Amino acid sequence: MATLTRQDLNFGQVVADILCEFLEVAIHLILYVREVYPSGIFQKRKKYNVPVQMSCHPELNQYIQDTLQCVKPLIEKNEAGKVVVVIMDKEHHPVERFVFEISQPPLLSISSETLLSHVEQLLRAVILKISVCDAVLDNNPPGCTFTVLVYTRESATRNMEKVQVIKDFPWIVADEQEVLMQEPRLIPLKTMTSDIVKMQLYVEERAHKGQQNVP
Amino acid sequence: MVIGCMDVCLHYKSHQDKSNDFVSISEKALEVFPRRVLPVFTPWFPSGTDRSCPIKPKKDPPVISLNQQESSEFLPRQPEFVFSSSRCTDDQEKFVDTSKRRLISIPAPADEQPKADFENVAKRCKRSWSVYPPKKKTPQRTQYISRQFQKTVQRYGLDLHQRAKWIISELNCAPQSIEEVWSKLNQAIKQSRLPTCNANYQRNLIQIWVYSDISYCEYIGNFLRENFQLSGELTLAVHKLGDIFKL
Repeated sequence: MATLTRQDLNFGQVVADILCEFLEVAIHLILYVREVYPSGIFQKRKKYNVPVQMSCHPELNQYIQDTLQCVKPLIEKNEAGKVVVVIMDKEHHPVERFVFEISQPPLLSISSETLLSHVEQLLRAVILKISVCDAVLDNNPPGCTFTVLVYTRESATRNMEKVQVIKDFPWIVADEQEVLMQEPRLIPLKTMTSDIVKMQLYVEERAHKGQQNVP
Repeated sequence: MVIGCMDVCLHYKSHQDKSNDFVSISEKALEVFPRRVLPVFTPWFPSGTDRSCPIKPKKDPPVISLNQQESSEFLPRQPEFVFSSSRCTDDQEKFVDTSKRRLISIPAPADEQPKADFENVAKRCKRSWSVYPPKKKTPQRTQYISRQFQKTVQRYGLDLHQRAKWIISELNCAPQSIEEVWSKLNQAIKQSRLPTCNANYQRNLIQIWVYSDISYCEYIGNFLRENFQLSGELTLAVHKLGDIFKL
């Protein structure tokens, strides 16, 4: 077992690849489970050896891919602290926030076992938690939409340039209205600790989803 | 003059006998100090607000209505809509692709309100189990096993009390709907007409799984076929072994 630093072997890139792949699956599944899109556009697939629902809508897939492609450089440089999938009502007020808190160690002990089987097992557990989270969440109002927020460790404006990877896919600082949620209910879903990445997933749910959130 | 928390003590020399002045002096001492509201501190360096404000894509995600989903230009099975992430395997053998069939099973005319459709889909997509009869009635004459089925039982080394399931798919139900068959089946189980049976409607697969003991399987299969006018082949599956028999 060797000890590597972040600079060795493109460690950051490996972690970013693993996490972005996971986030892609997770976002699709959240959109399916929380009924943000009609269930007909989703298809059953297999990932981490468990069934997952993935969208087959080209536009939506492209949007998710573009988003994650832009997030990847931030994860690679360990500059993204949180990636949040926000489900918003018709008035663009958040009703649910799926928060993926990511932390990467500066040093790691790495082996083939660590990378392949253990991390996959942990990610599988998170996916399984997402697939059953509807049991602990209230129904969302109809006509919900979503957005992906990225919390950077340093100033957001400083990182803005780093995410502008795709020409026609600009990024902006999110409105306060889309971020703030009054008295949210906190539902912890899963934490995972591996040698290469630590992650915790929790949901912030608006107390009264039928009512408008007044900040 | 010393000012306490609440009391005011005024010390004066005996020759200063001007009690009116004392009162005015005390009042002045107790006057409220002028106060000003401090402006909110705004540092010149990246502030906490800036740091906590996340970034997001400027572009909004696409809006997909149920009508658009059902339109001919979007069908998940078409090759041009193959999921872009090659990292997810499309395991058709293990997970039945039901997207297209689901579209058929959820008729949504353009006139109907999308809200109602959403609710309808959500309602239908829940798993459901049959009601178990309060008293078990297992008539002896139902325990009939044909020679062919007996051979299957022997080949796989099955126990007669082992559970097996008949799989009723949408195609078996035609021309009636699978929902109709499901409600008829529930009635039959409720009335204890299907010994050792319980059933599960796998709405996402559009299949009904009818569980029973191996000893009653053949009887149950025939019962289902005759009473619910099922067509095509019914498949009997056993846990771990998979499909073992067709009727």
